[in-house]
Amino acid sequence: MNRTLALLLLLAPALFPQSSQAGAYVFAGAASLDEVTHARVYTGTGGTLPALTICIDISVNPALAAQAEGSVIKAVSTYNRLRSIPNNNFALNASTDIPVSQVDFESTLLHEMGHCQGLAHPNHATESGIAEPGRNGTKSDVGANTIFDQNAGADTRHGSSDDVRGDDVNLHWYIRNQNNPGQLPGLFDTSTLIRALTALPGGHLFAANADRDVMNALGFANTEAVMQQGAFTREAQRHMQHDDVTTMRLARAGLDRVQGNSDDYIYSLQYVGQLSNPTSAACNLRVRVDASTGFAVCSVGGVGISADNVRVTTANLAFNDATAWYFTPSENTVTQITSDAPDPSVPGQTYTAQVTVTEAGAGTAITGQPSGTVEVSNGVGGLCTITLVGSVGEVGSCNLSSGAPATLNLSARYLGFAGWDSSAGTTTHIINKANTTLSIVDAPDPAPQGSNVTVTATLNVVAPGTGTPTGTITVTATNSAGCTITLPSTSCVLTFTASGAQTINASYGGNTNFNGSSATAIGHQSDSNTPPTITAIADLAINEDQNTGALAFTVGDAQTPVGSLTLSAASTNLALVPLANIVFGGSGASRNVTVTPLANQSGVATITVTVTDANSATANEAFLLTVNALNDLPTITAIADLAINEDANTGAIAFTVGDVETTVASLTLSAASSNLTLVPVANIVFGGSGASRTVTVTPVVNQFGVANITVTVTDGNSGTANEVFQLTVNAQNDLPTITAIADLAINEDANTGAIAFTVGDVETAVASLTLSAASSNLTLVPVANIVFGGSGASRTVTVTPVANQFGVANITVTVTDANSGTANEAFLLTVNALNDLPTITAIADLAINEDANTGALAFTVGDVETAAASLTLSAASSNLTLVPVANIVFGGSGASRNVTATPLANQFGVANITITVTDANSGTAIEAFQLTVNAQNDVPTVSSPGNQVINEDANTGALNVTVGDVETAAASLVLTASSSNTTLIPNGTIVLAGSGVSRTVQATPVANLSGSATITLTVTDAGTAIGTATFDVNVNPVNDAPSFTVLGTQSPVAGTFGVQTASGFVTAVNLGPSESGQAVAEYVVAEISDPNGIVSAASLSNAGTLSYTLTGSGGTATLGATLRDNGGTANGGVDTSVQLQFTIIVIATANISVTKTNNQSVLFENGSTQYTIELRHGGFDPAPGSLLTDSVPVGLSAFSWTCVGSGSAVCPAASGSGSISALVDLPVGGVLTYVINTTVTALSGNTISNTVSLVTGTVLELDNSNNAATDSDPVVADVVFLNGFE
Amino acid sequence: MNASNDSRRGLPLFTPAAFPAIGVDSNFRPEASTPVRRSGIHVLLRPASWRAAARFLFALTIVTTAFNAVAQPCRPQGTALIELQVTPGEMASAGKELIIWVHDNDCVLIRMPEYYKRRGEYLFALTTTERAHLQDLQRDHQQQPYVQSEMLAQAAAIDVARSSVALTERFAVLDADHYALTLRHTGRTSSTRALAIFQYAERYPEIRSLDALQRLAAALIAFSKRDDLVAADEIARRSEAGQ
Repeated sequence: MNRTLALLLLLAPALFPQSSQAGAYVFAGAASLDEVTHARVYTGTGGTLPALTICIDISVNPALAAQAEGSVIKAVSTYNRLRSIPNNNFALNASTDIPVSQVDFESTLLHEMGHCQGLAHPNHATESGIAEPGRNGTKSDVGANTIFDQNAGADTRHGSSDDVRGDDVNLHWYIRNQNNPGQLPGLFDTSTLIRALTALPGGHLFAANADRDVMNALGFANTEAVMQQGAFTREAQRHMQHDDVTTMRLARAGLDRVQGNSDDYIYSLQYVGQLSNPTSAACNLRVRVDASTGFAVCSVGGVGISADNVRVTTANLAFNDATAWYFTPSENTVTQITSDAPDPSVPGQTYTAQVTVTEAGAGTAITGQPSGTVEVSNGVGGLCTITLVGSVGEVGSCNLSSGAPATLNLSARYLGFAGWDSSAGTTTHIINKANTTLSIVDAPDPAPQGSNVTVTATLNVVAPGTGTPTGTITVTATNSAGCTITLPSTSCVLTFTASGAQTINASYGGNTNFNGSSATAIGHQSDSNTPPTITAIADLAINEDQNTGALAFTVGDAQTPVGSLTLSAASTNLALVPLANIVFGGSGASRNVTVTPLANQSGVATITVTVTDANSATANEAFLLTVNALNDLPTITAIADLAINEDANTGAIAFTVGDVETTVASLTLSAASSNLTLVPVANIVFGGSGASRTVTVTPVVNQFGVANITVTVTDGNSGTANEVFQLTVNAQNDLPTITAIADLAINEDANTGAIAFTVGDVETAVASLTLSAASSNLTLVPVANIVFGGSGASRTVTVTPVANQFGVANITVTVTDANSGTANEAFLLTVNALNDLPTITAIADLAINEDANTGALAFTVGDVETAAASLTLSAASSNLTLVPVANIVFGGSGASRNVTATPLANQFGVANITITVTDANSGTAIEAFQLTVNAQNDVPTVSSPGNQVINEDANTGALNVTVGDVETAAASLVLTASSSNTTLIPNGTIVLAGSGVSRTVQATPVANLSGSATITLTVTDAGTAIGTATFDVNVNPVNDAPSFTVLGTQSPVAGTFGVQTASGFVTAVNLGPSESGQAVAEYVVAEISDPNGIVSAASLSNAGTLSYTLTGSGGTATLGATLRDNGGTANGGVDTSVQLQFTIIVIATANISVTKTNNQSVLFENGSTQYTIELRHGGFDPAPGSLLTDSVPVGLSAFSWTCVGSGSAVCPAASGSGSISALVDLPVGGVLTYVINTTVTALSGNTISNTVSLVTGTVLELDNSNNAATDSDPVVADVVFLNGFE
Repeated sequence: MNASNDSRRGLPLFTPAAFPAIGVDSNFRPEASTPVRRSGIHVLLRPASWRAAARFLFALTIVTTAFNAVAQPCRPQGTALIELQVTPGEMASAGKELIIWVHDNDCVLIRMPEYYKRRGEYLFALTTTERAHLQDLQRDHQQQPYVQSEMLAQAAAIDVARSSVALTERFAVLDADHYALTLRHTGRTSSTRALAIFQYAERYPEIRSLDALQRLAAALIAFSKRDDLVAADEIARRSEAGQ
């Protein structure tokens, strides 16, 4: 990772705050970690939502955008199916379809489309600032410590269930009690998915997500969630996974996050084509291919719709137009939905999608008829599958069930098979509401005016529609207020205010799935109602606890059939006659009533009987009922017969008394006995009070037999009631007796001696009485240790506690008679504790060598009272010079202990070691053994100077080391050295010096070599014992300056100019000793001097070719060249050669041209003429000192001239006469112009030639051919108009 | 030949006066330790027509730069006065960055990552017009320094202003690109770190510092779109062949 990228990632949390897109949902974290982000089309209302539209914006980069269309159509189909397909959605750098270094557009598009519908990364991703591979960890919030706690756990895979995450707060919704990203839950709501970590399975530490490595470990090869961040070349990831599906479908559970209610929502994606600058309303997900991203992004705007819920408002996808995208190619198949009949359909109706998959046309690689699987999706969760066999003209079909009315986007996706590409086709399918029919009936019909008329409606769904309509049916009628039936109820009630035929209308308004319908009925109403009649019932009197019997009466009514008349009653004294005790009988007109007063109640009540007709009209009849009071006898509850033993009593036997008139407290009791010998009356005693009484019967001592006991209760009116029960007294044996034994105390390991006691019995002879014993503390006193002695009535007992036991025991002595009657005597025996000494096992004598130790010598300790762990050890030594006490160390624990004795270094001899073990009561035990230490020669020592790092061509310097030995004097120790790498450091270059304890070592590597060598120092004592030490010498390479030679002076041909090259100019290159692996990095050519500017752009190629440009001027240029190799300058290295100077010499040249003319073709006798001479310098160097010569020829006289210079040229003389002979200086570009005026003296017939010539001075003339010029003209007579007037 | 003697060169692309006098790292503020400077928040709400104009300017920048005169090859020399790195969030690992260097001899070196259609290094020489355009954009950027945390604070304030109910408007960019812009001159360095500047600029065109930064970045990125770029290895081949 380069430094800038590392810095960016380090800064990412600050650049990209945690409040933004921190969760599995885009906006989780801004306001709440539980926040769910919904797609744009969801506004908080459930149901089937409008389609979420996606388009390609062609306003920016239309050509590339158009290429993306195939991928967009496929991605839309993938999201509309919304299925998790593991095990083949991921091919990292291995897709056989995608060329090397290209990126799959469809895979990236799926990822960004997920973002734009509200999904965030389930992994940390780059916004966390965590470097790879930690970036694969499960998405979380930083928690209280404000940092991500990232630890991959034992399996080293980030994102798995054993990640150790400190206080990080999980943001990934996982399946409760499963935490397996490879499984889909049955429901997608908070009953199955949870964000808190409280529902993790045992042993899991954090929520796992569908990272590629994690899924592979869970048995899902080539599987990763689409929303995991991280794209790669040649990666195909075109199927959704658990994380993707669960997160999206959890959102679709609506605001309450409970699936299966009206709050749920569904929607489909719809590709709306290529648009130019679409609005977000027209195109909810805008796709652009442009320069606004380096790869791919999704930017989303959102707005809160309720607590913990946000919806996307704008969603834009951008893809980089410079990326080498792999666009899903044109398929070699065409998928079409040819039919979706019936279309439209109605809810509950099945419609059939017919699909054809055919070869795309000419140019495909294969021909024939595709076979394989086609999935047909309705975009709102419905899916069916077709299997094509590949027959010619094949049309596949499958059925889908119509849901709620909507316009659906049906998509058929052929999954591809055996060389046939996948392809998709779409169509729309309309689901209309189902029709209904409604019918009504009214009852009763006819009905009296003003009475209730029930209207019952029957609403049916017209086939093929199915289902149960909901909503309301509105009922209206003439002359009646309307009423409403709320389905699933089927009726409501009307009340008419007029008689005659009435029109009743019912209307069902329909709902989301069903169309409305209506019905009409005619109801008939009779005239006004008259009240019913009832005959009289006479007053009457009855006694308490009787009823009236059936009292007959007659009812009637003009409009209501007598059978339909209803009866009711009222009572003015509900304490005497509650309404429930008034019962009607009879039928038709003949009815009766039976009144039953409450038991034991008396008094007067008026009973009113009411008859009611069908129209709620009533008639009443009242009669007076008198109930006369009568005395009631008291009551007593039953007492069961019972049997008791001799010398016992019955205990208090409970019974209850009562009376209607007398208060229970005033009721009196009396008793009688049928066997006064056994039970005198005085021995029958009553207890209790009020209604709750008891009786206790005590038979005479030692008496037995049977007695009937009578208990009588009497009220205030002398009324009585009796209860008799039989008491049986069983004969019993008398128990034996035993005298007391006093408590006593003895010491541990003693016994009680014989303790005397006496036994006796009424029925059994004392000799026949038997003894037994028991102990409450069998550990201290087993029963076997209780021994009886004596005979007859005089007996003894001796108790012997277990050895070393102490404490307390209750000893019970039992005497038993011949009838198994027993008597016990218990006494407390206290055994006082006495301490036992500890124990220690033997340790054998042993011998060891000097400077060794005994190792751990095992022994065992023990004690009766003290736990082994609490026993303490101490040691002593008879020879502290050899074994000080501090060098005797104990180990082990509990009973198993050990001792290690370590003699002092270099000491030998004999020592007796004594081990003492002490218990908690200071009791001790001792074990001693003899340790013999045999004398040994000690190994000499030499120190290491430590590893050394030096540069090439340096040495380590003298490094200090020390030597030593126990037995041998330092001066007698022999020190030697050797090298592990004698090529780098020959042994001969290792120099040892010093004396006694202090020595030195110096290593000198071979010149110009680098590398590492280990130097081993060996010291030998007088006893030939050897000690060693090592150290490494690391020699850093140091680059040596390169050198080279060149051909030397370059002398191009005079007058040459332009680019020149000299191959092989460098004749020898030496990159440095032992540096043959280096290469020439560059030659640098610098200008030293070039006074005349003859050279430019001089350079040397790495191949040694000299290039330079000549300006054409003459002179000498001195250049310097240096060579730089690629060995660098680390450690003081020199990568640049000494500068070599060379010269380029160019001879100065001139190019002067001379012209002469008088612009005449003839000369006239005695006439005059004018010559013009022009000297022009077109060369590269000045031409000083050139000789110009123009002699006056014969035939010309009065020869005078003038001279004018230009272009920096200066005339030697401005004018003159006669012949011209002058030294002229012509600079480059200079021009001298001579004008000569002369008179012709020659006669006609002659020819005058006038010549000018120039000889250059010190510079080389490149072209002498134009250095002279001659003008020759014939001389003619000066005759005017020689041939007449012209 | 010393490049400083090259008579073709005019004024330096970035003059010392263009840098704030406070010195090194004048624009870069470590976000982790620097609190948001609330007093420095300036929110300017502009009419919608301005946004359209900004988008047009963005597009025009790319178009005019891409269709300039045929680029001339060059060899980068001296300091890289401008360096822009673009690291995609979805492709964030070493070697995945687009990097554009503008050297002080007006030579532009562009390194495109391996998943680009034109992977590798390319060179071209800035024309005088292009150089002047960059100077203008750079001046705008430095007069309105961009700080990521301050931009986010401004964006949040704008969302609050746009919301019908306070704090309900949100914005996020997923798989955001990281932008690192470094300006250097005579030992002074100015660094700017930013995220998803084009997406934020589209939503918040009224934030001036963001607008200036995205226009400068757009101009630099547009260099990589030119049809007449010359591959660096092609220039090396020509040099070796003496062409």
